[in-house]
Amino acid sequence: MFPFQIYGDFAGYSLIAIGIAKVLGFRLMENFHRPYFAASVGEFWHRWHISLSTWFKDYVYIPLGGNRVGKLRNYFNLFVTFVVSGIWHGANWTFLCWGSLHGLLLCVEKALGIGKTKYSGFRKFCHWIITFILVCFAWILFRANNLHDALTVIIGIFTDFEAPHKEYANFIGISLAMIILAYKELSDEFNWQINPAESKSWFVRHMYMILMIAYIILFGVLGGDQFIYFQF
Amino acid sequence: MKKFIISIAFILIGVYVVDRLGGEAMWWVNQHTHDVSGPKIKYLANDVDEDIVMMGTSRCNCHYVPSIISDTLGVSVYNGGIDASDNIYAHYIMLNHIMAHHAPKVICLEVMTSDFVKEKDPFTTVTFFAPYFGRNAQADSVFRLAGSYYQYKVSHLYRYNSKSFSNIAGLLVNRHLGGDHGYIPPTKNPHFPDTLLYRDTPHNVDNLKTEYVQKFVDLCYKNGTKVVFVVSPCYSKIDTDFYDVLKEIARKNNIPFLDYHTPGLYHDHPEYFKDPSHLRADEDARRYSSVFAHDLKQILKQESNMLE
Repeated sequence: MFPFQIYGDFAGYSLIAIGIAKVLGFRLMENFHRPYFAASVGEFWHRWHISLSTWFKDYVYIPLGGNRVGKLRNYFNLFVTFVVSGIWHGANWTFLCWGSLHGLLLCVEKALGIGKTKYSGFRKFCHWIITFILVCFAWILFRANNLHDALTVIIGIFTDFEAPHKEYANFIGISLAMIILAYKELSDEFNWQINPAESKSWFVRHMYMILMIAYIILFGVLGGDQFIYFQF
Repeated sequence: MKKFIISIAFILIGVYVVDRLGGEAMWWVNQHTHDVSGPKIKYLANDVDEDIVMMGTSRCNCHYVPSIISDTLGVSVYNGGIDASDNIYAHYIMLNHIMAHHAPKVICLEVMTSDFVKEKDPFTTVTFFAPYFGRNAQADSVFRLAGSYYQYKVSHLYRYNSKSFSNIAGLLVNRHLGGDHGYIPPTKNPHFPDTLLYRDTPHNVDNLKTEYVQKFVDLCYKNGTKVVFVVSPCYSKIDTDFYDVLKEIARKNNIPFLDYHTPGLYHDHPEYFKDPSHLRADEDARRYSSVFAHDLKQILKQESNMLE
């Protein structure tokens, strides 16, 4: 569940910041653009933490020579940029490995020409699934306290086939949140015109706001210190 | 501007109505749920009528077998230990709700270090009792200390914030493990502690907590209930002054203090423990309950007519 937890955590508070800035008259850039719909790791980094990715592109990747260099040097630039991005998250081998893995995946994609063409239909779906699995795999390194823990989880994926412990309260909570998140992401990605927050009906819009406030009062984690990304 | 004011007014009124209706719905859920601790709190707050009520946290919950104590003493016993209820604040709230409808003859409080030492956030688990907010002024006073009194007063829905998923899950699946009058047998753990660790005597005493221990005792006395403090076995080595703060309160109030930790009961049997604070299995709880019941009987015998 960590990929969704960190997305909800980080994209959530980015949206809070964007909303507050908008109230004060400032228009901030979008920071997340439905990253789990990316069809390649390269596209993922165009959708995830856009402000930081842009910063690394402008201040690390381009000064190193960007893509206006030879092939091998370009791969090196990409790899170094992501290694630096990993270290930026913390002085821990796990972050270094996480950044390196993303750098490596981007180099492989570039070498294979993945992400250059716009995919559609079933092919896009396959690319999306593979990208999602790769990104989730990399999150193991990001989340683990140390490399030993990460290795234990990775080995567990291939050797431990026991059903996870059933905690019904968590299951209900997570399911409810996932349904709301999936609905929001799908309706935005595929332009569904049934978003109650943007309904033409004044009553529907307001009822949606009221129900969302009630949902937050009942289910929200309203204590402090809960944002994962505050540590970075 | 007029549109904006109408929008705000509509949302405020709408949230108020949904909050009140939602609060009623969640109260119904809370009273019908079969989640882990909801039914036990409900029983204690509304229906408990046993002569002896054991109170405390998970250590109480899975260390005292009421049928054994009941057989030894010849009176009814209920194990009112609530998992993760943490410290004296939670016990004080629960006690107020019990005393509002029934005064047991004896209350045995399983005390712990968390009942007298300073903690970073000592009020986390008082949220367990938030659904009962507004029913007992004394119990609600703890929410003032916790800083959530006005939130609960304003919003009925917020009272269920921390327990809503658990309550709802308990409607769909029976998660309540209560078998023998509130006793929940320990889940047998294949591992047990391999070293007997030493614990320093805590000196960071929280005076507010000791004040609430005293309030707990006063409330029992006011209702004619005898209090017994008890510390069940722990797999850790301590000095004889470890529980001095609580023993002093017990001494001042003439309360028996049954301490099975300091003399090291079962320290020669690490296999009786699943971790330093909890006995490992049902048979271990039964073994300990027999010892405790025997000692409690001796104490209560000295109090003439207590159990008649």
